[in-house]
Amino acid sequence: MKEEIIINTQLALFFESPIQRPDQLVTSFNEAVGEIFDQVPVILPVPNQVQLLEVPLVQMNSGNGVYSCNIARNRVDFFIAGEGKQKFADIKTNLLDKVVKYYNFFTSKSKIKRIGFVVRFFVQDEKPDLVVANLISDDFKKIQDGETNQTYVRFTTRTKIGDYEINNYSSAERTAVNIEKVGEKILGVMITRDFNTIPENNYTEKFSVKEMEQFIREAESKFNLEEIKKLLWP
Amino acid sequence: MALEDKDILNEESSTGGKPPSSFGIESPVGKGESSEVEKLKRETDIVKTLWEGLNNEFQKINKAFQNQKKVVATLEKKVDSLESRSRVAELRSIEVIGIISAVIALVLVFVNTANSQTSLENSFFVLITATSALVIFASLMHYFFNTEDKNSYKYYIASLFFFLIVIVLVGLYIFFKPH
Repeated sequence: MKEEIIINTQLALFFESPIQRPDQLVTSFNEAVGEIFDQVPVILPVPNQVQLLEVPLVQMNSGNGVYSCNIARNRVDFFIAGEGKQKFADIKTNLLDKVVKYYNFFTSKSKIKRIGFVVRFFVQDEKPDLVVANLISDDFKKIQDGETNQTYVRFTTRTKIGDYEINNYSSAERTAVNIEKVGEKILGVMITRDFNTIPENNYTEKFSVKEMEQFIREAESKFNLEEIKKLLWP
Repeated sequence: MALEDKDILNEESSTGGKPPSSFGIESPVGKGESSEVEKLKRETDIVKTLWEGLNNEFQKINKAFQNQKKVVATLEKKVDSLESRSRVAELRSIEVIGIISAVIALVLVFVNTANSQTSLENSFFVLITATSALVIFASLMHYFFNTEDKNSYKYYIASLFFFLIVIVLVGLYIFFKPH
């Protein structure tokens, strides 16, 4: 069985009411998470308009490329990348530690109505499009003549994690990555697993830091990565 | 299919939000794009969104400005009209006061002068002279003060001469009426 490498994890928090000046949070947030963002933040003077609420005003990065954070007026996205050939288990402890600090900081600024937890994996393969095509039924593939050139599969279901109704999203697609100490432009399949509370529901009163940790643990149990890999490489 | 496309297409069911390029994800090999290109594309997207937002704002401001220009033009017209009317009203007031003063002077001075004459004909000629003086005075006053309403000038003189003619006719009747 092929081994997966974790590309990154993303934890998105959606605010109930927009934060007017995210740029003013840079220093205090960096202190709250232990000064991990040692690069100069990028701050864009985005006008305060409804259609621009999701534009990240602030982009914070760490010099080693492991941590990144995009703060928009109505959401914040915190990324932790894997280093080298790390797996999810290798970054899980650090992830949960940072999530506590991250969540506590932003709940003190605005109520959180929705969350999203995304994990992206990479599995090396020389013919990723053919591999992803294994998820498609033979009958469908027979409709088109010619050889497989590009394949992208996306699938979403609605289910529950605890009391939260979520979108359970999976995608598999061809990609190339640069992996430190391994190589550049390595071809393979990127598998994305995304668990986000549905936009129709507002969970402002339910979220807590314990619930966040529990959400991530339960999401992990739903990765079903081995099953996905078995289907991709039967 | 690029990573950006995926995020946009899946907005409803996925978390969305673009991962930073520093994680080393390259775009699909088919397009031969490097991570730097990906980064530039993402930044371009942000700038494009910003630009569109600013452009919309500019269009709104421009529209509001055009409306304001129309309002200002209408107000300017109204101010001009009011200024003109105010100036005419002021001149008319001076004119009316001047004529009333002249009439009062005629009554107070010339009537006594006419009464002190020994014959009716002399009294009548004094009255005719006084009325003529009043007509000339009123005409001159109208000419000097009324700079805009020139069309009514002759009608104004005609109306004053009308009273003079009436007085002449009455006098002729008095002089030549059968005893």
